[in-house]
Amino acid sequence: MFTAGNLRRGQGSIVGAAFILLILLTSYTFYTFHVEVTNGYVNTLQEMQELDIKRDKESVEFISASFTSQDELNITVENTGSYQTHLIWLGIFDETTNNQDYIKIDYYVDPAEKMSGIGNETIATFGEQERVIQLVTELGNTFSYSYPEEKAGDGGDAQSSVTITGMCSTAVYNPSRWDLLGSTQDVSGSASDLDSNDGNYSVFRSYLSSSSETNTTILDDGFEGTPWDTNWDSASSSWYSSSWQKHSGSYSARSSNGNEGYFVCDDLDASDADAIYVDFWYRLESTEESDLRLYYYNSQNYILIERIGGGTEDTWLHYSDKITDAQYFKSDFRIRFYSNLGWNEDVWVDDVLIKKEVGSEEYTAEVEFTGSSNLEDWTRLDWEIDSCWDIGEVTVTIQFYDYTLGIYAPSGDGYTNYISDATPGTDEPKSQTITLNPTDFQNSTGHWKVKIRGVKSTSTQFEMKIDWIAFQPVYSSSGDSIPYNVWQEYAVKATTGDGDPIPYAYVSIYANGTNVVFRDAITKESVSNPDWGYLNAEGEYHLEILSAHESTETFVLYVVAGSVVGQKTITQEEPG
Amino acid sequence: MLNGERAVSEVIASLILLLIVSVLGASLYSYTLTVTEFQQNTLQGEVQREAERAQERFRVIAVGWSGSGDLLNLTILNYGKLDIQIDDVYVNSERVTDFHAGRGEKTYTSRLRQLSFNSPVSISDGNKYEIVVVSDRGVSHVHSWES
Repeated sequence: MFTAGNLRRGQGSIVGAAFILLILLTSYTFYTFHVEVTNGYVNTLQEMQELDIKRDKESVEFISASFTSQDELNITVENTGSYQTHLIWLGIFDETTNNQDYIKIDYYVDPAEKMSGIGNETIATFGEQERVIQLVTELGNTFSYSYPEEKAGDGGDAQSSVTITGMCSTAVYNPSRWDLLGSTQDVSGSASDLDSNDGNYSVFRSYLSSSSETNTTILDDGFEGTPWDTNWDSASSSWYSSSWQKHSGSYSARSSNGNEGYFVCDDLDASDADAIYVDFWYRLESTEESDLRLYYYNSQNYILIERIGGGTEDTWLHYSDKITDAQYFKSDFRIRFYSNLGWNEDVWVDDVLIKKEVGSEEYTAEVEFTGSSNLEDWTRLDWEIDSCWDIGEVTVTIQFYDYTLGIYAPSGDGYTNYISDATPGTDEPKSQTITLNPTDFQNSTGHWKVKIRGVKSTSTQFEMKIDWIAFQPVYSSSGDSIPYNVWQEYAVKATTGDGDPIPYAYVSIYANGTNVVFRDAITKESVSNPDWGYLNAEGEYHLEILSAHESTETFVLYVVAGSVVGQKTITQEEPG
Repeated sequence: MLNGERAVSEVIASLILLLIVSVLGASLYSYTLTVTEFQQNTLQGEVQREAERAQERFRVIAVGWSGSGDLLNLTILNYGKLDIQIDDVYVNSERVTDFHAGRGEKTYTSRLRQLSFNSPVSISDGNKYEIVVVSDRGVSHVHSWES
């Protein structure tokens, strides 16, 4: 039953619920706001921390500072830090007069980049007067340089030094795999056999790439020449030239009563023939079948082929034959006519045409080899391939893939072709140096490929034998970073405080990398780590270093001459 | 029981009670809201100031001294995210009071500011000094300088 008490309780509940809801909403709003403000603050702190880290890793080294012939200040710097540097102020301090000048500049220098020409803004020349030059970066770092450069020996406190400099380096890469092209067959060997020129071959078998038949004329005679029987004079004959009857031209060969017997062509080379085509025209007058006979010579005997004296008279008759009997495929193949004529009997022969059909086969072996390399700044590319063939005189084509053109090099750089030695199995090293755009022969990941193709017209299947394929990019390197498992040369030089070389001294060498090995850059002989090196007359020792750690690793190369320590930090790159 | 005495009806009484409760509740909520907003603004202000302080970066990149006297010229680089102004400088914990130039002037980001003042501490050749530069947000930078 509805009463006033019930009404009050109901109203009280609604009002209470409304206030609870408002309190909850207010709390939530306050919480959300708090979180948002806190997150914003944390983001700001993170952003500034990143900037601080970047600033700590920023490093710029002065290479030189001088005035040009136009009295413009020319500063050269190198960014030796990890990030791009933005130079924003150039300070020139004259410490004797306490004069400070700052000039606004705007240069971006990428990591490892050397930049010249800084400072050629309007700066009054100060010749050889001493100044402190300061470069200020956007990240808040300053780098100073005392001008002019203090030379060793100045001030009497110069010290001996040991410097370690990265040299141009050559990396040698061999194929890691191959792909058979056409129907070339894999016979034996593996990719590792291609790593050195040691007589261990990877062998591939050629395939029949084409076959064809060619007809070659070996006799074409209408008896028009001088002498008329120049192709029929190896055996004496009483046949004679006649202009009375002729199938074409002005003359034919004629036999008549009293001028009869054999009429034999000279030797025809049909030794390589698969078939011989004999074709001629003849004319009969008053003859019987046996009055004119045709023979073929098989190098031993004349074989009677047909008696042709019994045909239609007083007209030109056509004779055509295809010889497939191999007994006639000789180097002295001949045809012979024999006439036996009585009174008023005549025969004429004209337009003799004999062809041989020669079959030809061509075998091809072609393989594409693929390898990897590095992405350094190549200055040159050398390649070397050593191969041989188990048959002589193969036409060989070597083509490296030009990734800029998108095709195998058709000529010039990355291409060579030759006829292999006539003696089967003769090793033939081929090489080439590419100085123009060598990086055309690698793709964006440093991979390369080369196609080797051998072709020969022969009926014999032959084999391609590849001993060594070396892809050798030469690149300039500061030596600060080296590719995985690649030798890098360093020049160690010890000098006195006056800059003179320290000759014939021993230096200790050591690198603290996990898997670092040394070798002498000249003799290529292995050197222990640590070990001693012997400076030459110029106070130099050339060392090669190879690091093969399974991941990126930074290590330090220490070279100590007496009490003077030279060191270089080297980073081995990620294995490719 | 009222025993026949006059009184407001139960409905009117309920409405009056409801009105009283609503007015009191609204007043309480309003007060709470005001307090909360105040706290929010206070928090936001504090965080904002801290964030601004965190974004401030400046340093002394050069100190000029003629070799005699106490006049110093500081070159200050603002490499932070916000514009700054230098309010105070201390030399060996002594506050500088005699400024010639640069104090209180706005220094934009990536810009330099020359501060010129007479050192409250006597400057002599070959000595080391600790110079503290303080911005208007209370951020300080300590620079060690050898004359």
